[in-house]
Amino acid sequence: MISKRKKFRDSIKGYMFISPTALVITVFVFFPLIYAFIMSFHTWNMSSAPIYVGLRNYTTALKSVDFWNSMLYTFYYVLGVLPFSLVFGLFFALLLRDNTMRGTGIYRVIYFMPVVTSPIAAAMGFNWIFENQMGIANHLLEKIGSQPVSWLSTPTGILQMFFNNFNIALPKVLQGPSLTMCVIILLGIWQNVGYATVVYLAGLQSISDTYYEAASLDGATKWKKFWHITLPLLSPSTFFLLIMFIIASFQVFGPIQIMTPAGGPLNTTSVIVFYLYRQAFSYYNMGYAMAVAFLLMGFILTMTIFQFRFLERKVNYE
Amino acid sequence: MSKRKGIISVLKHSVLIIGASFMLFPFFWSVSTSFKGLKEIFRNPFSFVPLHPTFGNYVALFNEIPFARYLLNSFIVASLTTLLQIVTAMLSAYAFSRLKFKGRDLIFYAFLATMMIPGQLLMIPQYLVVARFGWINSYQGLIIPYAATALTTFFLRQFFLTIPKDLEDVAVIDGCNSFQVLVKIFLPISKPAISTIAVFSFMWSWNSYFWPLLVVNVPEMRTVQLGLAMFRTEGGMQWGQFMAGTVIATLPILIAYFFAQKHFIKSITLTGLK
Repeated sequence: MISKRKKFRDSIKGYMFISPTALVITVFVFFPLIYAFIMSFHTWNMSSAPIYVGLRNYTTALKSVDFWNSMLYTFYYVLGVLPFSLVFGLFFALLLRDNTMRGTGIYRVIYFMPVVTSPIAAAMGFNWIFENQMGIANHLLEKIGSQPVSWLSTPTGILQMFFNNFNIALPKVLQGPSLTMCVIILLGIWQNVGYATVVYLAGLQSISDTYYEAASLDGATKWKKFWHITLPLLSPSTFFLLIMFIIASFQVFGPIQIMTPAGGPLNTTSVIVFYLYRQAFSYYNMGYAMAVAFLLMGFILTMTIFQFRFLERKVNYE
Repeated sequence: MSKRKGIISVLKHSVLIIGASFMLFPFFWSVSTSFKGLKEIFRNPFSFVPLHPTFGNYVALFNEIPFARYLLNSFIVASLTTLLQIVTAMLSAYAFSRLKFKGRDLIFYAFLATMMIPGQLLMIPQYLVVARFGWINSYQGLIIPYAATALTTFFLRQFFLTIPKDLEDVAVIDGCNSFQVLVKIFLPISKPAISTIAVFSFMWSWNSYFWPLLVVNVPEMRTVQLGLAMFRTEGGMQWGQFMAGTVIATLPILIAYFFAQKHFIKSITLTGLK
C-alpha cells in the first residue's frame, strides 16, 4: 500500500518536472501537427470557414506543374550542395589532419566561420558580390576581359547553356539549375564545407594508426590506404553528414528569399519551401500549403528511411 | 626526404590558404564595402580596401532605420529563449534520467519523434495558435514556442545519465528534495553541457528568420535578421548600408564564436548539433 502511494507521488513529481517542456511541445508541436494534418484536407483562406475537400489538395499538388518544378529546383539545390560540401570537407580535413602542422587551429577557425554566420547575412554578402551591375564578380570578369554576366537574372539552366553552343535543346529536367540557382548553391556550399571539415576531422582522429601501420607492412600505397582504410572507416561521418545536409537542404528558404525575393528569373529558384510560403502567405491557400508541407515531410522521411535501410548497411561502425 | 617534406608542406599551406581566402572573402568584402562612401561603392575600377573610409553607412543605419531597436529585440528574444530552454530542459532532463513515472519512456520517445518533423510543416498552424493567443508582434510570440525543445531535453538527459548516482544519494540522505538535488548537484556538474546548449540556443535564436517573418509585421518588433531582410527588399540599392547591417548582425555571433570556438567545434563533433 505504501509503495503504491510512493509510486503515485513519484509519478506526480515526474509529471511536474516535465510539465513546462510538455506544455510547450504539446501546444506548439503536437497540436500544430494534428491541426496541419486536418487542414490539409480542407480549403481555407483564413477569412471564411474551412471546407472539407478530401484528398483534393494532395492531388492538385501532385498534378501541378509549379509544384513539380519547385521539387526539381529543390533537387538541383540538394544535388549541388551535397557532393561539393562533402568532397571539399573531406579534402580540407585530410589536409588539416596533421596536428603537428603549423596553423591548423587557425584554418579550422576560419573554415568554420561561415557555419555560424546567419544564412540571411551570408546571403546579403553573396548578393552584393554577384550583383548584376556593380558586383565584384562582374568587375573581376571585366578585368580579365570577359563579358559581365547577369548572375541573378539568368533563367537558363547551366547544362542548357553549354548545349546551346551546339544548338541542342535539352528537356526541362536535364537543363540543370539556372545560373542564379548556382550562385545560391555556391552559398550553400560555402556555409556547409566548414561543418563537413570539422565532422570529418573528428572521424579521422578516431581511426587507429594500427590500420595504417599494418597496411604499410603489406606495402600499400598512399592511394590504396585512402581508398581501403580511410574512406571506409569514415563512412559513419559521411552517413551522418548526408542525413544532416539532406534534411537541411530540402528546407532551404532564407537565402532564396534574400537573393531572389520574387522566386528568381522565371521562378527558377522557387524551391519547395518558398513555393509553400507563397501559397500560404501570398495567396492564403492554407490547406493547400499544408498539404504541400506534408508531401515535403513524406519526401524527407522517405529519403531518410531509405538512407538508414540501404546506406547504413554499407556504413562501417568499427 | 626532408626537402620533399618541405615542398609538400608548402603545397598544403597554399591549398589551405586558397580555401581560407574563399571562406573569408565574403566577410572581408562586406566589411570593406560597409566603410565605403556611395561614390566609392559604385566606382569601377574598384578597390579592395576603402580609399576614404567612412562611418557614414553605420550612422545612416542607426539614424534612418531603427537598427538599434532590431538589435535590442534580437538580444531580448535570443537571451530569454536561451534561458527558458535551459530551465525547461534541466527540469525535463532530470525527470527523464532520474525519476520513475508512468509512461516515462513513451513520452520521451514522443518528444524525440518531434525532432524529425520539418519546421516549415508546423509553422503555419503554430502561427495560427500564436495569433489565437493574441501574440502576433509580441516577444511572447517570438519566444514561447521555442521555450522548450526536444533537442535540448535529449542532449541534457544524455549528459545527466553520465552523472554517478552516489552523489545525489548523499544529498538525499542529507534531506535534499529532488529540486534541491537538481540545483545543488546537477547544475554545477553540468556546466559544460549547459554552456553548450546556451551557445547553440543563442546562435540558433539570433540567426532564425522564418518564424519572426511570420510572427512580426510591425517594424518596431523586427529582429536583426528580419530587419536586414526587410531592409534589403524595401531599401533598393543601398549596398553600403546593407553591408553595414550585415556586419553588425554577424558580429555578436562571431565574437561569441571566437571566445568559445574550441568548445563549439568540440561539441559539434560530439553531438552533431547545428
